[in-house]
Amino acid sequence: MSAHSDVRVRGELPLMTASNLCVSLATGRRRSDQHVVLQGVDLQLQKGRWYSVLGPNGAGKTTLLRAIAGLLDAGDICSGEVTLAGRPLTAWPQRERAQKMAWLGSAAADVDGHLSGLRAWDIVALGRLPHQRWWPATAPLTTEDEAVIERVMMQTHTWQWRTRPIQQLSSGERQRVMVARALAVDADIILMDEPLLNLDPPHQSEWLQIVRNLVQQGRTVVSVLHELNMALYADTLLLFAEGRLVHDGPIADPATQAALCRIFSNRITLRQIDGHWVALPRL
Amino acid sequence: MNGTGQHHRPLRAALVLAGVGALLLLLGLLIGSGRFEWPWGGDAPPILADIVWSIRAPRSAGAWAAGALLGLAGAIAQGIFRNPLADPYLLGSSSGAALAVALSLSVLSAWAHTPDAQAYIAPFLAFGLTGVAFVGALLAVFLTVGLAGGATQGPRLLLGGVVVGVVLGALTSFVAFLNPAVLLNMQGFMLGSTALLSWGGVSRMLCVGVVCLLCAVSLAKPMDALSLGTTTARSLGIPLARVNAMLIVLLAIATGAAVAHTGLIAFVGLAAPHAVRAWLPCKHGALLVLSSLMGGALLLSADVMSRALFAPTELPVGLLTAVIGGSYLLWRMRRVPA
Repeated sequence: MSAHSDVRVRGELPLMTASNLCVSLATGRRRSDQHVVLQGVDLQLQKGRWYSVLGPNGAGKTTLLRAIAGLLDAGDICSGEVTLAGRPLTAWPQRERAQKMAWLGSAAADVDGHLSGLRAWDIVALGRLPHQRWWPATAPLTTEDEAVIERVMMQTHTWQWRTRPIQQLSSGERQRVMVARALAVDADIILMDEPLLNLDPPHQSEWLQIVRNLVQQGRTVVSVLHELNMALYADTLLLFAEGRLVHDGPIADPATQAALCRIFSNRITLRQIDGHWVALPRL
Repeated sequence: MNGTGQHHRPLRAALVLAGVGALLLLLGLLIGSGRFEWPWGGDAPPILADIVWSIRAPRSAGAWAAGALLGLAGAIAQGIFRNPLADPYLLGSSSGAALAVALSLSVLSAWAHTPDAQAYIAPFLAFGLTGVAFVGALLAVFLTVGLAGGATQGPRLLLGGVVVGVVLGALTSFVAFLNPAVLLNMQGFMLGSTALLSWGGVSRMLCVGVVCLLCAVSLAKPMDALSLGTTTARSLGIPLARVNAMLIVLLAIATGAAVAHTGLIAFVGLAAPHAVRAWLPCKHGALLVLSSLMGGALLLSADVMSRALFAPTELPVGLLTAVIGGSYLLWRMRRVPA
């Protein structure tokens, strides 16, 4: 079963689509200094599913996430269109789009605490920014905002150090705060680029549980993970190689398994342990 | 309630800094030629009250206002560039102001020989040089933004600021080379001086300061988001180009107003936000206000010391801020782990 066939099975309109998406990034000032990162990508993402983007280094995973989040410059997209809830992404007002779609970048934990002076609570509270007015800057958060912040900090086990400045936290703790910040947006679709960076195994499992809960609530999660065994828990794998979507489907599908081994140059082998698929390096 | 129970601390810090500013202001009124002079009461000569009102009061209030502008500009600059070394002069405003002043003085000295010149020179020196320096500072910042290709190009802006600073600095040196008298007239400007501040200048700086502070505080939430990185800020719905452009305009106006009235005061804009952060880690809403108050207190204390330390000789205030600010940053650098 593929992401495309999800539409036929469920009969629902996809939450997000990308059609014939092509992205090229400038490597110099001349017109010829362009590097094509994504080409001809067609995607349909359904409500209430977890998609895991997989591929070797340089396959275009992060660029895909940025493209569907609307975070690339307009000039970077050479062709194709991304839609959110049936409406072109570019037609969405910036704030409404931010309410609908949360994004967590791979370098999120690199925030410079010395400069920001922000505490864990302040950073998670920034996730509520799309729902707030900017003025007055000192206006207190609404009860709803506070409830959401408390909930996501409890989920990510960051509540206990909410008053600690971010520079006092370890990189793993910072990453959990950043995950909480993305969850605090309370968006329909959550895009996460390497959310498990610096997380220890118990907190990786915790993240998995959070994603499952989100999916049960009808949210859509798209993640880029280098922890292959965690990624195999996703409902649908989106397999990328050299900027192209080469296959999409669940890991249980033999075609997906074959494609997964292929994009990693057959350097991995897949096994099923206690009903779960795991990838082992082929030495 | 904000879940942390710490929302009164910035208010208390603001009150402390305002109190320190008020005390320094009083000290600034009383210190003259290196000794305390109480201008009120029966024993005080009548002229002393005039001196206090016409010279010491505008000078002290002006030093505080210029310091507050630089502190605010420093907090904005460090917020835009997310760089602890960002200071208000980063985008070339000081070099622009210096070149504008050098050119004006050069033209003025050439034109001053004509018979009708004297009627125009006095009013120009009273306000014109300030205006010229302000315009020069603003034009230099806009030149930097133009060269960088926009307000969102962080690293290019930094590079553009360095290039504009070096080129305009070289042009200023060239003007001074052609007309050496300019160098002497510009000494006060280059070293930074609060000695010639008038009530007009004070009111102009205060007006600019209040407007810039209100505008900057209205952008405090986007600035907090920017501290998570530009891409995350965009994902949170921040119109990055518009916010950056507004912040750069505020930075240019606040720095330009301070430079135009007091010349090149070093380190206040850089040190004030650092001092606030070291004392009380806070969000940008509080940081902008506290940096302004801290900058005002820093420059006013330097001004008071410049009058008192080697009295009756008065030190250039810019020299003192460089020594005090530089020493403070060095001390901070050694305390913060590498």
